[in-house]
Amino acid sequence: MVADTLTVTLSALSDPTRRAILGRLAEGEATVTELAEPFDMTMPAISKHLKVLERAGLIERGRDKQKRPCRLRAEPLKEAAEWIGHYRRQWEARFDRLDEHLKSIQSKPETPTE
Amino acid sequence: MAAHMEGTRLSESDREILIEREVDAPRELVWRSFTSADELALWWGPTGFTTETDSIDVKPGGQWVYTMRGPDGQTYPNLITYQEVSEPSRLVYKHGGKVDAEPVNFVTEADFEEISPTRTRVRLRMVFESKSSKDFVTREYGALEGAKQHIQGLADHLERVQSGRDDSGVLLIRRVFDASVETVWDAWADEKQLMAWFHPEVWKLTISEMDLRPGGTYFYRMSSDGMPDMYGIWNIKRVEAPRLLEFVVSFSDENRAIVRAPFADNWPLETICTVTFEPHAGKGRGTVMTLRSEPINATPEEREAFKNGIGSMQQGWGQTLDSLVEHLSQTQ
Repeated sequence: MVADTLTVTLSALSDPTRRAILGRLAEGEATVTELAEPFDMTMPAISKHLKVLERAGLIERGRDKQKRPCRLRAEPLKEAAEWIGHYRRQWEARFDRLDEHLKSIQSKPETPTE
Repeated sequence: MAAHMEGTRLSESDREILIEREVDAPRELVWRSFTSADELALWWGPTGFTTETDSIDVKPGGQWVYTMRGPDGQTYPNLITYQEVSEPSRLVYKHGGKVDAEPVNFVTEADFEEISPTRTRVRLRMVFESKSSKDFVTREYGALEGAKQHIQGLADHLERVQSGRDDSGVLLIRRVFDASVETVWDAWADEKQLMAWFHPEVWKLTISEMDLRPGGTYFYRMSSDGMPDMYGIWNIKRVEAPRLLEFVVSFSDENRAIVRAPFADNWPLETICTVTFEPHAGKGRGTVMTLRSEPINATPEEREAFKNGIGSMQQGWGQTLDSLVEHLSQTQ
């Protein structure tokens, strides 16, 4: 189910550490050690975050048994970004049209009433 | 919430504006709201204005230097000099008096009277140097409307502080329209006008019922080529023309049975929307329209879905996500 995937994606994205990890991976693949560097966290804690991201399909791990570098996967992110903005954008777009509408009715000297 | 100015009394004479209302808060809390920069940032000023403090020193002769920004982006450098500071019951301060501050000069006597341990009467008496000075500020800065919104903002702030409620799970959109409050109201209340702008992007909107009164219903169909029709219902809760409209929105089927939103399984079945319309205070003109939307009768999961989708956007990581996605689409 699409919505279930989204729920998993959104909950994976709800954590600032995980978002920072994704931000780092947008620059290119990295090993767990490299990813852990900027954080004041134990390796098991970082691994836990990576597991959540992996389950959500947001990252994938390389085959190299020694390093297993992490790589970002874009598809679920795109879907989530689209969904997150949906409701707000709908209202924003409506209000853009309302703005246009108000301008158009006020530019006419008399609004025709049918 | 904001905009319905119940309980606010406003009167004026040649040189004075007197505004008074009772708020549900202990007097100490009201005092803190007036004297702490952190608190002032959360409520000071008319609807849609934000306040940033450069420095504050609440003592006789001390000053508060701050900048206000209107909902239209206009900024107003401000200066207040305290004349009398009697915690927690009375504060007298003078607006203006610096070259680069706004040419708005008056003295405010703020009195906080304890009615009960949880209720306080707030009385603001603004005394101008002359009738022409008061007329100038009323005309150029919308002082009367501004004062009403100001004290309403205080009441809303005190309510938020005490209920511990925050807006993190609420969609809040504020826009300024270059039209009178009545004109903007009509764009919502008149069927032909509503149809001109309310439809989602490429969808065509057909309104089959529009009964604008508490308990009334709007029922509409949205159709688009090659897509199944969608239906929507508004159940009207409050109508305070031309200032406030409140309704519960749901998707429905053609028989008006409430259905899930087509775009997410966890989306709340019902969201309550409160739209308020207020005259722009300050130098701006037009109408400040505020939309608040939040789930109603929702399960914790639905609330969470709404919060993840909406609240997070407002915490600014939606943008992070957008730029991440943009970056990915360029690199892949």
